[in-house]
Amino acid sequence: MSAPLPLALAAGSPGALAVAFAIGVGFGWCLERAGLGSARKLMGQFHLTDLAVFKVMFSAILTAMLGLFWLSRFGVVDLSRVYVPETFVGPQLAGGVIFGAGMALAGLCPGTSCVAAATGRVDGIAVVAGFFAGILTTALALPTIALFYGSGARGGVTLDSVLDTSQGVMILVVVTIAMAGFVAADRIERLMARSVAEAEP
Amino acid sequence: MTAIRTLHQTLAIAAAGLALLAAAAGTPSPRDAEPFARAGADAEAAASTPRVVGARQLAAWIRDGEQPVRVLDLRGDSAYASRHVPSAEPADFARLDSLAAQRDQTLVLYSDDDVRDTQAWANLAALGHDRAYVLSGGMDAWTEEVMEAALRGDSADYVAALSRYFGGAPRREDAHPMSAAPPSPRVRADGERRETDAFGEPVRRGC
Repeated sequence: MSAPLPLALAAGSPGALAVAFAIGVGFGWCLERAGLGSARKLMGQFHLTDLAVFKVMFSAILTAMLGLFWLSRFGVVDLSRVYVPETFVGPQLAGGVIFGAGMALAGLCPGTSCVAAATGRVDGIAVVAGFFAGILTTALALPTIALFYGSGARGGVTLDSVLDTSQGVMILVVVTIAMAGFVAADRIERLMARSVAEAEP
Repeated sequence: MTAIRTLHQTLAIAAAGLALLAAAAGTPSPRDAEPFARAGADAEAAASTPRVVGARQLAAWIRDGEQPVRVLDLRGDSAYASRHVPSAEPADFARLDSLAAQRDQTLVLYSDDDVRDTQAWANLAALGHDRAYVLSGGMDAWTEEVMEAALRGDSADYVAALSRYFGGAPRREDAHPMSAAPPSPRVRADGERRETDAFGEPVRRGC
Protein backbone atom coordinates (compact mmCIF):
# COMPACT_ATOMS: atom_id res chain seq x y z
CA MET A 1 0.00 0.00 0.00
CA SER A 2 1.26 3.46 -0.75
CA ALA A 3 0.44 6.81 0.79
CA PRO A 4 -1.42 9.13 0.48
CA LEU A 5 -4.44 7.03 1.24
CA PRO A 6 -6.65 5.66 -1.57
CA LEU A 7 -9.46 7.75 -2.98
CA ALA A 8 -12.02 5.85 -0.92
CA LEU A 9 -10.52 7.58 2.10
CA ALA A 10 -10.31 10.97 0.44
CA ALA A 11 -12.11 14.14 1.46
CA GLY A 12 -15.55 13.79 2.95
CA SER A 13 -15.79 10.03 3.44
CA PRO A 14 -16.26 8.57 6.94
CA GLY A 15 -12.83 6.92 6.66
CA ALA A 16 -11.21 10.27 5.88
CA LEU A 17 -12.97 11.89 8.81
CA ALA A 18 -11.78 9.09 11.12
CA VAL A 19 -8.19 9.47 9.90
CA ALA A 20 -8.41 13.27 10.22
CA PHE A 21 -9.80 12.93 13.75
CA ALA A 22 -6.99 10.56 14.78
CA ILE A 23 -4.32 12.88 13.31
CA GLY A 24 -5.96 15.87 14.99
CA VAL A 25 -5.97 14.20 18.40
CA GLY A 26 -2.33 13.18 17.96
CA PHE A 27 -1.34 16.69 16.86
CA GLY A 28 -3.22 18.26 19.76
CA TRP A 29 -1.60 15.89 22.24
CA CYS A 30 1.86 16.82 20.92
CA LEU A 31 1.07 20.55 21.17
CA GLU A 32 -0.17 20.17 24.74
CA ARG A 33 2.83 18.06 25.75
CA ALA A 34 5.12 20.74 24.27
CA GLY A 35 3.35 23.30 26.48
CA LEU A 36 1.97 25.26 23.54
CA GLY A 37 -1.58 25.26 24.89
CA SER A 38 -0.50 28.11 27.17
CA ALA A 39 -0.49 31.66 25.82
CA ARG A 40 2.47 32.42 28.13
CA LYS A 41 4.58 30.00 26.11
CA LEU A 42 3.78 31.77 22.87
CA MET A 43 4.32 35.20 24.36
CA GLY A 44 7.76 34.00 25.48
CA GLN A 45 8.51 33.65 21.78
CA PHE A 46 7.83 37.34 21.16
CA HIS A 47 9.83 38.38 24.27
CA LEU A 48 12.69 36.01 23.23
CA THR A 49 12.62 34.36 26.67
CA ASP A 50 11.23 31.01 25.52
CA LEU A 51 11.74 29.92 21.91
CA ALA A 52 10.01 26.53 22.26
CA VAL A 53 7.47 27.43 19.54
CA PHE A 54 10.22 28.06 17.02
CA LYS A 55 11.95 24.80 17.97
CA VAL A 56 8.77 22.68 17.88
CA MET A 57 7.58 24.11 14.56
CA PHE A 58 10.96 23.84 12.85
CA SER A 59 11.40 20.28 14.20
CA ALA A 60 8.01 19.40 12.69
CA ILE A 61 9.04 20.92 9.34
CA LEU A 62 12.30 18.97 9.30
CA THR A 63 10.57 15.71 10.25
CA ALA A 64 7.89 16.09 7.55
CA MET A 65 10.41 17.23 4.93
CA LEU A 66 12.92 14.42 5.52
CA GLY A 67 10.10 11.89 5.97
CA LEU A 68 8.38 12.78 2.69
CA PHE A 69 11.66 12.80 0.77
CA TRP A 70 12.87 9.42 1.96
CA LEU A 71 9.46 7.72 1.97
CA SER A 72 9.08 8.83 -1.65
CA ARG A 73 12.60 7.69 -2.42
CA PHE A 74 11.73 4.21 -1.14
CA GLY A 75 8.44 4.15 -3.07
CA VAL A 76 6.14 4.36 -0.03
CA VAL A 77 4.72 7.85 -0.71
CA ASP A 78 3.58 9.04 -4.12
CA LEU A 79 4.54 12.72 -4.11
CA SER A 80 2.53 13.42 -7.28
CA ARG A 81 -0.58 12.93 -5.14
CA VAL A 82 0.53 15.38 -2.47
CA TYR A 83 -1.14 18.71 -3.14
CA VAL A 84 1.13 21.77 -3.09
CA PRO A 85 -0.96 24.77 -1.97
CA GLU A 86 -0.96 27.56 -4.51
CA THR A 87 0.75 30.90 -3.90
CA PHE A 88 -1.21 34.16 -4.04
CA VAL A 89 1.36 36.83 -3.15
CA GLY A 90 -0.75 39.82 -2.07
CA PRO A 91 -3.60 37.96 -0.37
CA GLN A 92 -1.19 35.72 1.54
CA LEU A 93 0.91 38.70 2.67
CA ALA A 94 -2.25 40.39 3.93
CA GLY A 95 -3.37 37.13 5.56
CA GLY A 96 0.04 36.77 7.21
CA VAL A 97 -0.16 40.25 8.71
CA ILE A 98 -3.68 39.64 10.06
CA PHE A 99 -2.70 36.20 11.34
CA GLY A 100 0.46 37.55 13.01
CA ALA A 101 -1.41 40.42 14.64
CA GLY A 102 -4.05 38.02 15.99
CA MET A 103 -1.39 35.63 17.23
CA ALA A 104 0.52 38.38 19.07
CA LEU A 105 -2.71 39.72 20.52
CA ALA A 106 -4.11 36.38 21.69
CA GLY A 107 -0.90 34.48 22.38
CA LEU A 108 -2.40 31.53 20.52
CA CYS A 109 -2.63 30.32 16.93
CA PRO A 110 -5.53 28.20 15.53
CA GLY A 111 -3.98 24.86 16.54
CA THR A 112 -2.89 25.89 20.01
CA SER A 113 -6.18 27.72 20.64
CA CYS A 114 -8.07 24.47 19.99
CA VAL A 115 -5.75 22.72 22.44
CA ALA A 116 -6.23 25.51 24.98
CA ALA A 117 -10.02 25.36 24.53
CA ALA A 118 -10.03 21.56 24.85
CA THR A 119 -8.17 21.82 28.15
CA GLY A 120 -10.70 24.35 29.46
CA ARG A 121 -8.70 27.57 29.20
CA VAL A 122 -11.07 30.53 28.80
CA ASP A 123 -8.67 32.48 26.57
CA GLY A 124 -8.52 29.46 24.23
CA ILE A 125 -12.33 29.33 23.97
CA ALA A 126 -12.40 33.09 23.24
CA VAL A 127 -9.81 32.73 20.47
CA VAL A 128 -11.67 29.79 18.88
CA ALA A 129 -14.85 31.89 18.90
CA GLY A 130 -12.85 34.74 17.40
CA PHE A 131 -11.49 32.80 14.49
CA PHE A 132 -14.88 31.30 13.68
CA ALA A 133 -16.20 34.87 13.61
CA GLY A 134 -13.30 35.75 11.28
CA ILE A 135 -14.09 32.84 8.97
CA LEU A 136 -17.75 33.87 8.82
CA THR A 137 -16.88 37.53 8.18
CA THR A 138 -14.45 36.60 5.41
CA ALA A 139 -17.03 34.32 3.78
CA LEU A 140 -19.65 37.07 3.85
CA ALA A 141 -17.18 39.64 2.49
CA LEU A 142 -15.82 37.34 -0.20
CA PRO A 143 -17.91 38.76 -3.08
CA THR A 144 -16.53 42.22 -2.25
CA ILE A 145 -12.88 41.15 -1.99
CA ALA A 146 -13.01 38.44 -4.67
CA LEU A 147 -10.71 40.37 -7.04
CA PHE A 148 -8.01 40.79 -4.39
CA TYR A 149 -8.59 37.23 -3.07
CA GLY A 150 -7.52 35.70 -6.39
CA SER A 151 -4.78 38.19 -7.26
CA GLY A 152 -1.04 37.50 -7.54
CA ALA A 153 -1.50 33.81 -8.41
CA ARG A 154 1.83 32.04 -8.88
CA GLY A 155 0.67 28.40 -8.86
CA GLY A 156 2.22 25.70 -6.69
CA VAL A 157 5.64 27.23 -5.98
CA THR A 158 8.39 25.27 -4.21
CA LEU A 159 11.75 26.56 -2.97
CA ASP A 160 13.78 24.20 -5.17
CA SER A 161 11.98 25.38 -8.33
CA VAL A 162 12.45 29.07 -7.45
CA LEU A 163 16.17 28.60 -6.68
CA ASP A 164 16.62 26.16 -9.58
CA THR A 165 18.22 23.44 -7.49
CA SER A 166 17.39 19.85 -6.59
CA GLN A 167 15.00 19.01 -3.76
CA GLY A 168 17.80 17.14 -1.98
CA VAL A 169 20.09 20.19 -1.94
CA MET A 170 17.20 22.36 -0.78
CA ILE A 171 16.60 19.94 2.11
CA LEU A 172 20.25 20.23 3.15
CA VAL A 173 19.99 24.04 3.07
CA VAL A 174 16.82 24.06 5.21
CA VAL A 175 18.25 21.56 7.71
CA THR A 176 21.44 23.65 8.01
CA ILE A 177 19.40 26.82 8.62
CA ALA A 178 17.29 24.99 11.21
CA MET A 179 20.36 23.66 13.07
CA ALA A 180 21.89 27.13 13.15
CA GLY A 181 18.52 28.45 14.34
CA PHE A 182 18.33 25.90 17.17
CA VAL A 183 21.83 26.80 18.40
CA ALA A 184 21.05 30.52 18.14
CA ALA A 185 17.72 30.02 19.96
CA ASP A 186 19.50 28.27 22.88
CA ARG A 187 22.00 31.11 23.20
CA ILE A 188 19.29 33.79 23.02
CA GLU A 189 17.28 32.02 25.73
CA ARG A 190 20.36 31.83 28.00
CA LEU A 191 21.19 35.50 27.38
CA MET A 192 17.63 36.60 28.12
CA ALA A 193 17.46 34.45 31.27
CA ARG A 194 20.70 36.05 32.50
CA SER A 195 19.50 39.60 31.79
CA VAL A 196 16.15 38.89 33.50
CA ALA A 197 18.00 37.50 36.53
CA GLU A 198 20.24 40.58 36.68
CA ALA A 199 17.28 42.94 36.39
CA GLU A 200 15.49 41.34 39.36
CA PRO A 201 16.21 43.01 42.71
CA MET B 1 19.03 16.80 31.57
CA THR B 2 22.12 15.15 30.13
CA ALA B 3 19.94 12.38 28.67
CA ILE B 4 17.74 14.95 26.90
CA ARG B 5 20.79 16.78 25.56
CA THR B 6 22.17 13.47 24.27
CA LEU B 7 18.80 12.73 22.62
CA HIS B 8 18.77 16.18 20.98
CA GLN B 9 22.30 15.69 19.69
CA THR B 10 21.46 12.23 18.34
CA LEU B 11 18.39 13.55 16.52
CA ALA B 12 20.39 16.48 15.13
CA ILE B 13 23.08 14.13 13.83
CA ALA B 14 20.43 11.86 12.29
CA ALA B 15 18.72 14.81 10.58
CA ALA B 16 22.02 16.15 9.28
CA GLY B 17 22.99 12.71 7.98
CA LEU B 18 19.64 12.24 6.21
CA ALA B 19 19.93 15.75 4.74
CA LEU B 20 23.43 15.07 3.41
CA LEU B 21 22.24 11.82 1.83
CA ALA B 22 19.22 13.68 0.37
CA ALA B 23 21.56 16.26 -1.20
CA ALA B 24 23.57 13.43 -2.72
CA ALA B 25 20.42 11.65 -3.96
CA GLY B 26 19.04 14.88 -5.44
CA THR B 27 15.54 13.77 -6.34
CA PRO B 28 12.86 12.08 -4.22
CA SER B 29 11.89 9.84 -7.16
CA PRO B 30 12.12 6.13 -6.30
CA ARG B 31 15.57 4.60 -6.82
CA ASP B 32 14.36 2.28 -9.62
CA ALA B 33 13.47 5.32 -11.71
CA GLU B 34 16.94 6.90 -11.37
CA PRO B 35 18.17 6.07 -14.91
CA PHE B 36 15.09 7.82 -16.21
CA ALA B 37 15.32 10.77 -13.84
CA ARG B 38 14.74 13.36 -16.57
CA ALA B 39 11.85 11.42 -18.08
CA GLY B 40 10.49 10.97 -14.56
CA ALA B 41 10.70 14.71 -13.94
CA ASP B 42 8.86 15.39 -17.20
CA ALA B 43 6.21 12.83 -16.30
CA GLU B 44 5.87 14.38 -12.87
CA ALA B 45 5.42 17.82 -14.42
CA ALA B 46 2.85 16.40 -16.85
CA ALA B 47 1.09 14.61 -14.01
CA SER B 48 0.73 17.86 -12.06
CA THR B 49 -0.71 19.75 -15.03
CA PRO B 50 -4.29 18.69 -15.67
CA ARG B 51 -5.61 18.08 -19.17
CA VAL B 52 -8.26 20.67 -19.75
CA VAL B 53 -11.20 20.96 -22.07
CA GLY B 54 -12.87 24.24 -22.98
CA ALA B 55 -16.55 24.84 -22.25
CA ARG B 56 -17.52 24.97 -25.95
CA GLN B 57 -15.58 21.81 -26.73
CA LEU B 58 -17.39 20.05 -23.89
CA ALA B 59 -20.71 21.39 -25.17
CA ALA B 60 -19.92 19.95 -28.60
CA TRP B 61 -18.98 16.58 -27.08
CA ILE B 62 -22.28 16.41 -25.19
CA ARG B 63 -24.41 17.61 -28.13
CA ASP B 64 -22.79 15.53 -30.84
CA GLY B 65 -22.40 12.39 -28.75
CA GLU B 66 -19.52 11.18 -30.87
CA GLN B 67 -17.62 10.09 -27.81
CA PRO B 68 -19.51 9.16 -24.63
CA VAL B 69 -18.56 11.56 -21.89
CA ARG B 70 -19.45 11.58 -18.20
CA VAL B 71 -19.47 15.01 -16.64
CA LEU B 72 -18.90 15.14 -12.89
CA ASP B 73 -19.85 18.12 -10.72
CA LEU B 74 -17.60 18.34 -7.64
CA ARG B 75 -19.15 21.47 -6.12
CA GLY B 76 -21.51 19.84 -3.64
CA ASP B 77 -25.23 19.11 -3.65
CA SER B 78 -26.59 22.63 -3.09
CA ALA B 79 -24.47 24.20 -5.85
CA TYR B 80 -25.43 21.32 -8.15
CA ALA B 81 -29.11 21.84 -7.37
CA SER B 82 -28.94 25.54 -8.24
CA ARG B 83 -27.32 25.01 -11.65
CA HIS B 84 -25.10 22.52 -13.40
CA VAL B 85 -23.80 21.49 -16.79
CA PRO B 86 -26.50 19.46 -18.60
CA SER B 87 -26.00 15.70 -18.14
CA ALA B 88 -23.56 16.30 -15.26
CA GLU B 89 -23.78 14.06 -12.21
CA PRO B 90 -23.02 15.21 -8.67
CA ALA B 91 -19.89 13.45 -7.44
CA ASP B 92 -17.48 13.43 -4.52
CA PHE B 93 -13.97 12.13 -4.10
CA ALA B 94 -15.10 8.78 -2.71
CA ARG B 95 -17.12 8.16 -5.89
CA LEU B 96 -14.12 8.93 -8.09
CA ASP B 97 -12.40 5.90 -6.63
CA SER B 98 -14.85 3.56 -8.38
CA LEU B 99 -14.86 5.63 -11.58
CA ALA B 100 -11.07 5.40 -11.77
CA ALA B 101 -11.38 1.69 -12.55
CA GLN B 102 -13.53 2.37 -15.65
CA ARG B 103 -10.72 3.59 -17.84
CA ASP B 104 -12.61 3.43 -21.13
CA GLN B 105 -14.81 6.38 -20.12
CA THR B 106 -14.01 9.99 -20.85
CA LEU B 107 -14.53 11.96 -17.66
CA VAL B 108 -14.83 15.73 -17.37
CA LEU B 109 -14.52 17.23 -13.89
CA TYR B 110 -15.49 20.70 -12.81
CA SER B 111 -15.86 22.78 -9.67
CA ASP B 112 -16.02 26.42 -8.63
CA ASP B 113 -12.29 26.76 -8.12
CA ASP B 114 -9.16 25.28 -9.63
CA VAL B 115 -8.24 23.31 -6.53
CA ARG B 116 -10.86 20.63 -6.12
CA ASP B 117 -11.12 19.56 -9.77
CA THR B 118 -7.34 19.64 -10.25
CA GLN B 119 -6.81 17.50 -7.16
CA ALA B 120 -9.48 15.05 -8.32
CA TRP B 121 -7.85 14.92 -11.77
CA ALA B 122 -4.41 14.30 -10.22
CA ASN B 123 -5.80 11.46 -8.13
CA LEU B 124 -7.43 9.87 -11.19
CA ALA B 125 -4.21 10.28 -13.19
CA ALA B 126 -2.19 8.72 -10.38
CA LEU B 127 -4.50 5.70 -10.53
CA GLY B 128 -3.83 5.35 -14.25
CA HIS B 129 -6.99 6.96 -15.69
CA ASP B 130 -5.76 8.79 -18.79
CA ARG B 131 -9.09 9.98 -20.22
CA ALA B 132 -9.99 12.52 -17.56
CA TYR B 133 -10.23 16.26 -18.22
CA VAL B 134 -10.82 19.36 -16.15
CA LEU B 135 -13.37 21.84 -17.49
CA SER B 136 -11.29 24.99 -17.91
CA GLY B 137 -12.86 27.81 -15.91
CA GLY B 138 -15.41 25.52 -14.25
CA MET B 139 -19.09 26.37 -14.02
CA ASP B 140 -18.46 30.07 -14.66
CA ALA B 141 -16.84 29.29 -18.02
CA TRP B 142 -19.84 27.16 -18.98
CA THR B 143 -22.17 30.07 -18.21
CA GLU B 144 -20.04 32.70 -19.98
CA GLU B 145 -18.92 30.71 -23.01
CA VAL B 146 -22.00 28.58 -23.68
CA MET B 147 -25.15 29.76 -21.91
CA GLU B 148 -24.48 33.50 -22.31
CA ALA B 149 -21.99 33.25 -25.15
CA ALA B 150 -20.78 36.46 -26.76
CA LEU B 151 -21.06 36.11 -30.53
CA ARG B 152 -18.31 37.46 -32.70
CA GLY B 153 -16.40 36.56 -35.79
CA ASP B 154 -16.88 33.68 -38.18
CA SER B 155 -17.83 31.26 -35.41
CA ALA B 156 -20.88 33.26 -34.31
CA ASP B 157 -23.45 30.98 -35.95
CA TYR B 158 -21.83 27.85 -34.63
CA VAL B 159 -21.62 29.24 -31.08
CA ALA B 160 -25.21 30.55 -31.23
CA ALA B 161 -26.52 27.14 -32.28
CA LEU B 162 -24.49 25.44 -29.59
CA SER B 163 -25.76 27.84 -26.94
CA ARG B 164 -29.41 27.50 -28.00
CA TYR B 165 -29.13 23.71 -27.98
CA PHE B 166 -28.59 23.93 -24.22
CA GLY B 167 -31.27 26.61 -23.74
CA GLY B 168 -28.77 29.46 -23.58
CA ALA B 169 -29.20 33.11 -24.59
CA PRO B 170 -26.27 34.05 -26.83
CA ARG B 171 -25.69 37.74 -27.43
CA ARG B 172 -23.96 39.93 -29.93
CA GLU B 173 -21.02 41.68 -28.31
CA ASP B 174 -22.58 45.09 -28.84
CA ALA B 175 -26.21 44.07 -28.51
CA HIS B 176 -28.76 42.52 -26.19
CA PRO B 177 -29.20 38.78 -25.76
CA MET B 178 -30.51 37.31 -28.96
CA SER B 179 -34.16 36.60 -28.48
CA ALA B 180 -35.06 36.93 -32.12
CA ALA B 181 -33.60 34.97 -34.97
CA PRO B 182 -30.08 36.12 -35.78
CA PRO B 183 -29.49 38.04 -38.99
CA SER B 184 -28.30 35.64 -41.59
CA PRO B 185 -24.65 36.10 -42.47
CA ARG B 186 -23.72 37.34 -45.88
CA VAL B 187 -22.91 34.35 -48.00
CA ARG B 188 -20.66 34.82 -50.97
CA ALA B 189 -21.09 33.02 -54.23
CA ASP B 190 -18.32 30.61 -53.32
CA GLY B 191 -20.13 29.73 -50.11
CA GLU B 192 -17.59 31.35 -47.78
CA ARG B 193 -19.18 33.26 -44.93
CA ARG B 194 -17.76 36.68 -44.24
CA GLU B 195 -18.48 38.87 -41.28
CA THR B 196 -19.45 42.37 -42.37
CA ASP B 197 -19.45 45.70 -40.56
CA ALA B 198 -22.28 48.21 -40.32
CA PHE B 199 -21.55 49.41 -43.86
CA GLY B 200 -21.56 45.97 -45.39
CA GLU B 201 -17.79 45.90 -45.78
CA PRO B 202 -15.93 42.72 -44.81
CA VAL B 203 -14.38 42.97 -41.36
CA ARG B 204 -10.61 42.69 -41.61
CA ARG B 205 -8.83 40.71 -38.94
CA GLY B 206 -5.16 40.42 -38.24
CA CYS B 207 -2.42 42.29 -40.05
